[in-house]
Amino acid sequence: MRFLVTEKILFPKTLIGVVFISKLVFFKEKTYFYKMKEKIKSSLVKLLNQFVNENEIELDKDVVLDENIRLIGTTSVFDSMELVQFIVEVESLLDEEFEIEIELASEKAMSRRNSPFISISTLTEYIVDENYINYGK
Amino acid sequence: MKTILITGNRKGIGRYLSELYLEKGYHVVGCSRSDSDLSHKNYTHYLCDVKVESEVKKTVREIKKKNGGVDVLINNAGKASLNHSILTPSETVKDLFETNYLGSFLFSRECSKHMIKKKWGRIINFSTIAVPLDLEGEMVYASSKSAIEKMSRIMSKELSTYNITINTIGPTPVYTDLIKVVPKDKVEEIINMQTIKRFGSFEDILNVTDFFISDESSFITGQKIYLGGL
Repeated sequence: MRFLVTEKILFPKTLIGVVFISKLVFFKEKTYFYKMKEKIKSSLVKLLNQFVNENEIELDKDVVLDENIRLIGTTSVFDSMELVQFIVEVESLLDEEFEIEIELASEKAMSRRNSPFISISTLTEYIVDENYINYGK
Repeated sequence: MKTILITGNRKGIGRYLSELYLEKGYHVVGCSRSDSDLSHKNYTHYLCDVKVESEVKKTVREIKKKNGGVDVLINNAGKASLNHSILTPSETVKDLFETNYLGSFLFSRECSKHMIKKKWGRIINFSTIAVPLDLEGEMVYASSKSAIEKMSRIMSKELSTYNITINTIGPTPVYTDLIKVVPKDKVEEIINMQTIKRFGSFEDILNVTDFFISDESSFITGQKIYLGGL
C-alpha cells in the first residue's frame, strides 16, 4: 500500500521532470541554432560586402548590401560569373569558419522550388533547414 | 612552389609525369585507389577512387588545407575496354564513363573552385586518338573520351574569365598497362593509321603537358592536341 502511494506521488513528479528537461534541451538547441544562424548570416553579409568591394562591382547609390539584397535574377547585384565566384567564396567561408561542408550546387539546392541563392537570408535558411549545422560541435 | 595534382599516378604515364614534375620543382600530389611507392619530400599521395564524389571532395579539401589548393590538375586516371558494341555489358559502359568522364569532371569542378579564388589555373584532360579515328571495338572508351573533349571545350569557356585554361591531350598507343588490353594486331593497325607510324613515348606526352602548363600558354585554352599527326 505504501509502495503504491509512493509510486502515485513519484510518477507525476518524474513526468514533470522529464518534460522540463526535454523542454530545456529543446530551448538550448533552439537558442544554439538561432545564434549560429545569426552568426552565419552576419559572416555572409560581411563576405558579400568584401566581395563587392574587391571585385569593384558597381552598385546604385541607394543599394544597401544586407541579407535581403538579391543575389540572382534580373535585379541581382551580380552577373552570372560573379555569382559563381561568390558561391565558391561562400562554400569556402562556411568550411573555414564554421566547419560546414556544403555543396551549394547540389541536386537538393537546385531542385528547391525557391532557390536558396535568392539572398543571404534564404541561403542561411537553407543551411539551417538542411541540417548542415551540427548541434554540439 | 606550384602544386600539381595528377590523378591515377601509381604507374604508367601518371607515374612518369609525377617523377618529372618533382624533378622540375613542383609540389606533386597524386591519387589512386591503392598505395604508391613514390617517395619524395615534395610528394603527397592520397587514396581516392576518382568516380566517388565524396572521396574526390575530401581529397581536394585536404590538398587545399595542406598546400593551399591545386594550381595544375592533370586528369590522367582512366580505364580502357575493347569490345564489339553488341557484346558490351551495360556495367562496362557505366564503369568507363564513371572513371573516365565523371572522374575528370569531379576533379575539374572541385579544383577549379580554388583556381577561381586564385584567378589562375591549368587543367589538362586526357583523350585518345581513338576519338578522331572512330576505332571499331573502342566504342565505349572513345565515347567516354569524346565526352571529356566536349567537357573541356565548354568548361574552358566558362572558366576563361578566371585565368583558368583547360586543354586536352590525345595520346597514341604508349607502352602502359592500359594498352595491354588491346591485341597486338589491333595496336599495329592503329599505329598504321597515324601520320607518324610509331608508338608514343612518355616524353611525347610530357612535351604537350609542359606546353599547356607554362605561363606563356595563358592564351591557349579549349584546345586538343592529338599525338602522331592526326
